Amino acid sequence: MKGGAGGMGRIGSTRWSWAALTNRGGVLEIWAYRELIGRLVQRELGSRYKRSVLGWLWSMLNPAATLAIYALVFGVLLKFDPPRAGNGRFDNFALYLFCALVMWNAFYGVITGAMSALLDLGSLLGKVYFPPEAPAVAALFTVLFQAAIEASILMLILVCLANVSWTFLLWPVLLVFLSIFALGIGLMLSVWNVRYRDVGYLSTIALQFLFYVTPIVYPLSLIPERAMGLPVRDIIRLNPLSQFTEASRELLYGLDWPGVLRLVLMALISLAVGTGGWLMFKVRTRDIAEEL
Amino acid sequence: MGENAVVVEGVSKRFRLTLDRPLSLKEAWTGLRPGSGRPFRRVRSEPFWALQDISLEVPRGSMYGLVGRNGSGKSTLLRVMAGIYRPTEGRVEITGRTSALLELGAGFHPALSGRENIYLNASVLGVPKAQIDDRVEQIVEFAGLEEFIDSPVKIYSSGMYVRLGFAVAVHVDPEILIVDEVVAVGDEEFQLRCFSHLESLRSQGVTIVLVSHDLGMLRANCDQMAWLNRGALAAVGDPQEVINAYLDTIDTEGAASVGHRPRSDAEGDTPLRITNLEFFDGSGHRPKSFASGDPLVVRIHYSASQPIEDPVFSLGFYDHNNLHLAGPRSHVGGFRPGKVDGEGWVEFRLSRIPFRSGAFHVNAAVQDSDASFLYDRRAREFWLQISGEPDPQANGLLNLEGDWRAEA
Repeated sequence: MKGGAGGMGRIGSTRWSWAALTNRGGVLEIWAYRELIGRLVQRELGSRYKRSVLGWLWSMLNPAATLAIYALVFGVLLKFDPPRAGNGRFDNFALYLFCALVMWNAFYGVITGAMSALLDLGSLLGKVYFPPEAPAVAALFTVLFQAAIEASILMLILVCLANVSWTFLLWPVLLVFLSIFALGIGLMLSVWNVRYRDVGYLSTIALQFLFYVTPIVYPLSLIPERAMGLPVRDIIRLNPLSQFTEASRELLYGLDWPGVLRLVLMALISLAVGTGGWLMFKVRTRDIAEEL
Repeated sequence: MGENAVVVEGVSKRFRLTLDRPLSLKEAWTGLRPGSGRPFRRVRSEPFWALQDISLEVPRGSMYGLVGRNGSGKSTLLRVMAGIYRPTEGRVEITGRTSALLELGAGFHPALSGRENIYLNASVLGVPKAQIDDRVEQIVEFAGLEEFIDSPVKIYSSGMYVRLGFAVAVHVDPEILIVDEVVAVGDEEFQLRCFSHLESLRSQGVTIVLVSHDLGMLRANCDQMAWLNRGALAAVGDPQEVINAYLDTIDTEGAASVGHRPRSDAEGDTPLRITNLEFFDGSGHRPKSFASGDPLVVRIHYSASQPIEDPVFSLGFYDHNNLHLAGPRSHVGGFRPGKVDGEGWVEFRLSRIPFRSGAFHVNAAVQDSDASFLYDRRAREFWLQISGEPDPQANGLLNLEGDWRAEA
């Protein structure tokens, strides 16, 4: 298809075929708009990393500060004990925390990015056609870029401490699963965010709650088996996000393989959430130009 | 590729008037609306049909005009064609890369600079970056925005918005161009450039769908037209016929409000009918178009089935937007045609045509001797084409033949 975007299309047709999927309104039409996504990512990164070195430093300031604060509060003041690192030579709470935090940052970034991207660029949807998920997908790539920087720094430190193994290679796969998972949720929330103005407010609360019921600032072992008559540790373990943060720690800090079954489980969860969110988004945004 | 660039099949579009839609989850879940006084009851919003069963085909490479009054659904139809709105019923098939210029600030992001918006717009339209790199300067120049192109577009004036929007839309090699009335916002010089650019695009085979209130422009340029009335297709086809039908209703409604009888009353059994109108130049020829300042003779042919004493003939000159420019009546100067019977004609002579170039339509009517009873009226059937211009730089509809003087 020459020219891709805005090209041939049947609007309002319901025939199913590969062409129908990639055509206007099709589930996979986003592919035809890669140029637009590239442009949006470039724009976002451009404004964030302008003036090279200082820009990079600024973009790392927030995650570094968060890491420092949590390490201080939970590692130094509350003395949470990290397990020994995979090479058996040291234990360090800040690094143990960082391995999970980099996952959380990506998750949080994709969700909030998807929500604000649709609000921000949505006004254009009434004037010109593009797939409404394009801004969210662009936000995803922007976040992945940031996550890659954070992860590189983390891995570099670990390498310097001689805590390195083949398990590092699996980490990017984990990040891909997490992105699909987060994008599914982010897309769903972004539609509601357009429709109802208090969704942003409520999801901030929900994300805050989720942050603390995921083993990030604490090791899972710290949670009692039962509290208030509930099997809290199992509940926290079953939180899908815990799978990602724990697996990230195992791969980078513990130098351990998470096991095929868990990986398959994570893949299935992210694919289910990702496609579910995507399909729901496609259906609910068919008339979005009228709502924005 | 088929021969039609755009096919609209039985398209209807329903809007919900969303005044009563819950605005927050709190409202949606509790059913409470502050001030509604009706807790736990969702108020159903009334549907509004903006388009009803529209079917039309736009042949590839043609210029297609849409007319209709404000609120008749023209812009909605364009949005459905551009894929921005989904039709509630029916379907739209559009073949080719579509560029749409739908409103002020077509797809611009206010915080981005003009240049960034050019790239953003181009990528939305699926144009590769390399191609836009080549075109950027051309776009900037066309829009006349050299000084402002790196400033955020939120500081642009509405004219600058429109100019940039138009410049981008036409420079991305669209195969189909959808243009709402936006172009009317720019100044006259820019409008002229827009139209000549549209013309050149069409000659390159671009399909153009446009909405305008400038009936003369539509008549002169469109291959086909459609008239939308309250969301339904009222007429479609030949521009002249569509414009006539459109103007007739405006006319009928206008006439009804001041108590005139519409023309159709007289058609059957009136004793005196106007059979034709002819335009002659000074030497007795009938040219296709006249030059401003030339002599003009309008000959009104009539046919009387019984003798009638001193009927009053009148003419009405209108511009393409139906602005009434002049209305000479035969009895005003004391002219009496005497008793008319059978076939014959009367003439109205102008030594110099005062109108500047354009298409003008001429109405003719005939009444009884004290101008109280209308025998016949022919409206919007006869067009006078004026093309030659003594002074192409002049503005306005008329050439006034005055003299300038100065006092030293």
